[in-house]
Amino acid sequence: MLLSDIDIAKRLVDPDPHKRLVVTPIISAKEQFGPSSLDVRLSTDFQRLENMNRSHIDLNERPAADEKVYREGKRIILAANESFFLHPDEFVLASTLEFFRLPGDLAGRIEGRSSWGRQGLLVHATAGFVDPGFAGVLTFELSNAGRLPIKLTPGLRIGQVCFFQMLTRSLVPYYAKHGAKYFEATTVETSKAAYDPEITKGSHQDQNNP
Amino acid sequence: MSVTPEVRPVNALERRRFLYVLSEALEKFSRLRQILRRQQVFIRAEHAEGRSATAVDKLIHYLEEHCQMFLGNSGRVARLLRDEPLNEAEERAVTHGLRILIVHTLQIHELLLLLPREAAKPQASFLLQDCFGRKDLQASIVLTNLFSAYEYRFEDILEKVNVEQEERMALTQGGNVLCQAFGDKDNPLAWAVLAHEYGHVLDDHDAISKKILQKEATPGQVDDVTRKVEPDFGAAVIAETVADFIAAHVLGPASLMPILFVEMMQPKLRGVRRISAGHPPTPVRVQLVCEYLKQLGVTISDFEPVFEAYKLDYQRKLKDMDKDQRDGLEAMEKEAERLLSPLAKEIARKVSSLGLRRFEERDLRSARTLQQTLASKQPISSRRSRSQEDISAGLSSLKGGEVTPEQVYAVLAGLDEVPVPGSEILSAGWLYRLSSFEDVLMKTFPGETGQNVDLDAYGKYVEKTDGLLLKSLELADVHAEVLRRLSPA
Repeated sequence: MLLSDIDIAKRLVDPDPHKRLVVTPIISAKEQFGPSSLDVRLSTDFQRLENMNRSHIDLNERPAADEKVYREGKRIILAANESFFLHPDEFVLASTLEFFRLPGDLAGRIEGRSSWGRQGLLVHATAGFVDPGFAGVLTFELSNAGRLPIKLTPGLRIGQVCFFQMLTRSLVPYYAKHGAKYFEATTVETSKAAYDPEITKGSHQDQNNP
Repeated sequence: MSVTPEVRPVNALERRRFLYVLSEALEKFSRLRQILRRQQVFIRAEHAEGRSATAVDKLIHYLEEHCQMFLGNSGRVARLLRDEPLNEAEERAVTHGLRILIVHTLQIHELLLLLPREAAKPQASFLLQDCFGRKDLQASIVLTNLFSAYEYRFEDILEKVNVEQEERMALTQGGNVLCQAFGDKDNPLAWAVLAHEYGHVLDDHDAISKKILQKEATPGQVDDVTRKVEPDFGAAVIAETVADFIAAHVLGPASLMPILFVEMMQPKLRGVRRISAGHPPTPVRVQLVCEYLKQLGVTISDFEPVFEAYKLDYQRKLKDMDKDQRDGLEAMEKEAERLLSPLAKEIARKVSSLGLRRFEERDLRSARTLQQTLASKQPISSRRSRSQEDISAGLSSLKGGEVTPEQVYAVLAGLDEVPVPGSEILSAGWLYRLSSFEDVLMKTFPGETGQNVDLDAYGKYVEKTDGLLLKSLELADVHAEVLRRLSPA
């Protein structure tokens, strides 16, 4: 069941902590509330993925996850009044300004805003789902499919999140899930696929990048 | 005939002092190890050929080695944490092990400046702008080693490293430079000291201490002090007190916390020659700042346990000094007190007239509430103006089909949050640290035997708290910026 504006608002002030939804800060409810969603803003934190020293990405590669981050990316933290220019065909990771805490019976989904989509800005490529029990900022993928650079500023309403009430509470919410890799993140989180057991226990090694 | 060592019950104040020192040492160790590990990963990622032992690997090994020496006492630490008595030899062994860890951690810290890819966080600049609101006085922050950290005069540091005067002038053009310890670049709690350094910037700009020295301090008063201690001591302690009062004015009691924790962690008191770089002895600073806060109507009871432990720590270290050193320090303390006590009122008046945002008792009350939010692992950048109950009642009164959009927006506006000042975030962070570190130490040293010590548990606690405070400051910064954009021109 998709939550309406009033349902979302009631969940934000639910007296029962097990049912309360946390989204903070809400700077202007009037601007941020949609009929069935809540607009979210852009934070100051970006992770740009580099390609100059990599021939390809091998999803089965098995270096330490942190090494991949350094090798493949550059972190950029802006001051609140600075800007980030996303060039055509460029792809970066960014995160919501807002910190979320979802109760065990609510799931969420982050979507772009049509106003930006019409200008070529794509928000989140494939990982828009937010698990019940998740807490932290939401990392999403930004790419510019247009032909002109796009100026992004922290605090911009970049996307929207809608919430779904589940028929029953999850038996193992995200906070209790074995191997939850992104719980209580406060910054952009890069891929931690290298921590997946299929990869950590595998023996495949990239010949080009020993 | 064997003699059973005397087992001494743990004095509550002694225990608290020990736990503060332990927590500060583990915090510094954890931060340093984290920075070095990140650097290790960076080297491995960037230089595939450098996978054999690098200098950073050696530093990590050196740090871990001395940590292991400290962990040889983990059983005794675990017992102390659980209020169990130790005999004198055991106490000495614990203290000695901790000192080894501290000394080597501080030594390694001095090499951090050689590492690339690290910069001061934008949140540190935001904190200063938010506290002082003086856009006319820009100050940049550079990362330095621990011994040069928290200095305002970058020129002095350049002079120490023999940079020619002309080059010094070129390097420091374009604003004031505050120095921050490299290891504390991710540690907002330590940034409280930057408020003191920024206090010097204001003091120099407005010539506060110079005017006080010229008009208020009688020549004999200063000359006496100067003769007994060293040239310029009188002027310097007045300037330091002005900076202390400015920091306390904008941040409240939390402004003193990093100073006290770092000093408690030092194995010894510094002698008169080294301390007299201008700072009055710390007990005098604490006393004067506490009196100033009292005048501002700000209570210090939340931080009293730290003041008490610091006092004990100072007395112990004073007792351990050579007689000459001790006499010198005591004389200096008396002189500083004699000079500053009559001037404190005037310094307070001048600082209060600067028009800075004053830290008030209500900020402390708010910080106590924010502390609880932080304990639930959420950022603490803002609060709602209306209560949950009010908003709930408003929402319940809205019936579909019977209300206009304007009525709905009026109720939803109750969900709007307002950013809290950076000083409340920082104070809440300190209150959280003081209330939570002991539980984390218990988890770090589980059981009474000291086996299964989990230093990573303390590291994660430090990292998580830093992350939440950094996020809180980022949120407050962006929140204020968005409100500026939304407000009518």
